[in-house]
Amino acid sequence: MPVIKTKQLFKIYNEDTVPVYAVNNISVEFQQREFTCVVGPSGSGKSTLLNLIGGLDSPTRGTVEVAGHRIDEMTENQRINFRLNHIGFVFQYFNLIPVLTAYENAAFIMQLQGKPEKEIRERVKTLLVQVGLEKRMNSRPSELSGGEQQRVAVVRALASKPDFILADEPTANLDTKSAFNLLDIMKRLNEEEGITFLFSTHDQRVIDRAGRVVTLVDGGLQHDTEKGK
Amino acid sequence: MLLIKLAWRNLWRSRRRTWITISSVIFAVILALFLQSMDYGSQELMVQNTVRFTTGYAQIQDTLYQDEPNLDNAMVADDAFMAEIVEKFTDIEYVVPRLESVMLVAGEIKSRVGFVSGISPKNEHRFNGIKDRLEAGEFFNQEEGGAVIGTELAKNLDLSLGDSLVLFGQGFQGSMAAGKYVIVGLVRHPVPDFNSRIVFLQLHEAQWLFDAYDRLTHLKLVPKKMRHAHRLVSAVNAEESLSGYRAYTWEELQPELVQTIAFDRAGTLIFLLILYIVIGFGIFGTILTMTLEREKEFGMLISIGMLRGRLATVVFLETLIINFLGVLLGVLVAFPILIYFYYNPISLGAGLEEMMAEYGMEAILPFSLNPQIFVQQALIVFGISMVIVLYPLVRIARLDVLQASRK
Repeated sequence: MPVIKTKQLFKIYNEDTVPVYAVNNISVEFQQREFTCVVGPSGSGKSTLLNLIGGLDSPTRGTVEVAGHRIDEMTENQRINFRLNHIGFVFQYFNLIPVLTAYENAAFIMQLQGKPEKEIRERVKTLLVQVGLEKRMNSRPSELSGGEQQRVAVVRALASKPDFILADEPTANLDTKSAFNLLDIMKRLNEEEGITFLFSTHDQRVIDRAGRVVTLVDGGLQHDTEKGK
Repeated sequence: MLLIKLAWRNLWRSRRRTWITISSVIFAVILALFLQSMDYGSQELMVQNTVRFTTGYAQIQDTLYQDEPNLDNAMVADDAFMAEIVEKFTDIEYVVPRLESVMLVAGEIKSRVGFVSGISPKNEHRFNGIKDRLEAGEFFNQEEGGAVIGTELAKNLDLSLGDSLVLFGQGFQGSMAAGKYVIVGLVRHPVPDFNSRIVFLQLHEAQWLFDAYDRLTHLKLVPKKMRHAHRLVSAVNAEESLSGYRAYTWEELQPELVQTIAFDRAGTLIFLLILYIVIGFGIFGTILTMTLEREKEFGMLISIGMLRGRLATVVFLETLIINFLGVLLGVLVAFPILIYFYYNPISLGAGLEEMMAEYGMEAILPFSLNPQIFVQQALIVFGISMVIVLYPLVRIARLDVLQASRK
């Protein structure tokens, strides 16, 4: 069963006047354990597609099914709760909570979920060690480099064991070394722990590592290529 | 716990801004307390000055006297009754008996309508210090009778110390009341109307004059603490053995004074409202900046799964903590200041002293430490801040997550 499935998905702005098709009739499925990139020029609809899949936006028409749930039919609070429990987010600008330490940021979602403190501690510490941040656990975001912040963001997204992770241009603000480091970590988590990743990106470094590349142009699906096939 | 931790940490992410907000709340509380304390202090002094020379804080009358204030409705109240009242109600410090009626007051040539008041000189002086206002003669000698009259009345009747005056009128149950008294003292009564009409007699003299033995028109109850006057009146009125009597507070006896105070308070309220508005906008400015600065963060938090309600709770807690600290510190700072002014009231200057003394008032701006002021002002400032927090709450409720994330 696909973890994400969209069917005849449309996002149209100004439908009554001059319609703009941000997402134009996209039907696509993403399977578990995939490491997929959504690529395309600016304005092609990458971020809009990810927002629709992540329940941050509502489609004009069509359906979005995530882990067997129709999120396009959910109320706003249901979608927020769904995101909390099923989707991990990694943003372009890291978006950590500035007043919390790396550990607290990473543990934040599990705490929102109300998980026991012991479980949170074990899970978060293990992940922070995996991404090489065991010595920066007590540092605030302002004391971390961009790469370190993004690794904390990845741990935050992963900690609650979501069905998949949506990453919107995660390497766009990183230097080459940090970007490669982050991609290595995400690739390893994908291969070793079976975490599903869905990126939107322009970054060739990400595209090179992806197992599948979905190309959008003008809101529509142009290519869907799986490497090795 | 997570939300409290987040709120607390958020507060100190910009220490300067937080302290500015707290300071504005502190300033508001101090200023509001200062104004209100001064207002209450002045009113308490006004009540004290007025009440002690007129009705007293509380008094007992015959049940009919309030509607028909004449001697026929004077109550039976001998020494034993007065002693029993003091003993029965622990809130009472002492009592001040009065037997009063309007009479014709005649000198050698002129006559006037006067107000004859039979008093217990010792208790009367204890209550209002009337003896200190004596201009000539003495304020009754236990052995001798005589009358002490207002200086203005003496002037109007062309009378002076040692002269005689005749009182003529109606006594108890239609009896004729007439008597001739030597003026033993001239007193400057602080209430001008009384100063031109008052004739003090010793109580037993007045009872003899009015043929109203063991009777009083009213008995002033002096409470141990002035703020207990209402409690005392309620207790007296609830006492079954006093069913033929009725106790009143000064507010019931002097509705015009209550109106004056209400008018005075309305004036202060306008000042306070202006203060509340200024302070309110000050706090709002900070909250507005804080909200707009953090919209991207709010958007991110909602994106990763934080319900708007929980996010609003965090912001609410932040404002709650700021306001609680501000109000608490404001009260703590204001309290010693007000205590100082309570014991060292602001002097209005030598120029006013003489003029105000004429009216039995001190030329000071007194302060009050009435607990009600602290509770009221703290709650109002706190309430204003809590209204202001509605802005970020509404903002969070309406936040467009995608737009906020793009900021």
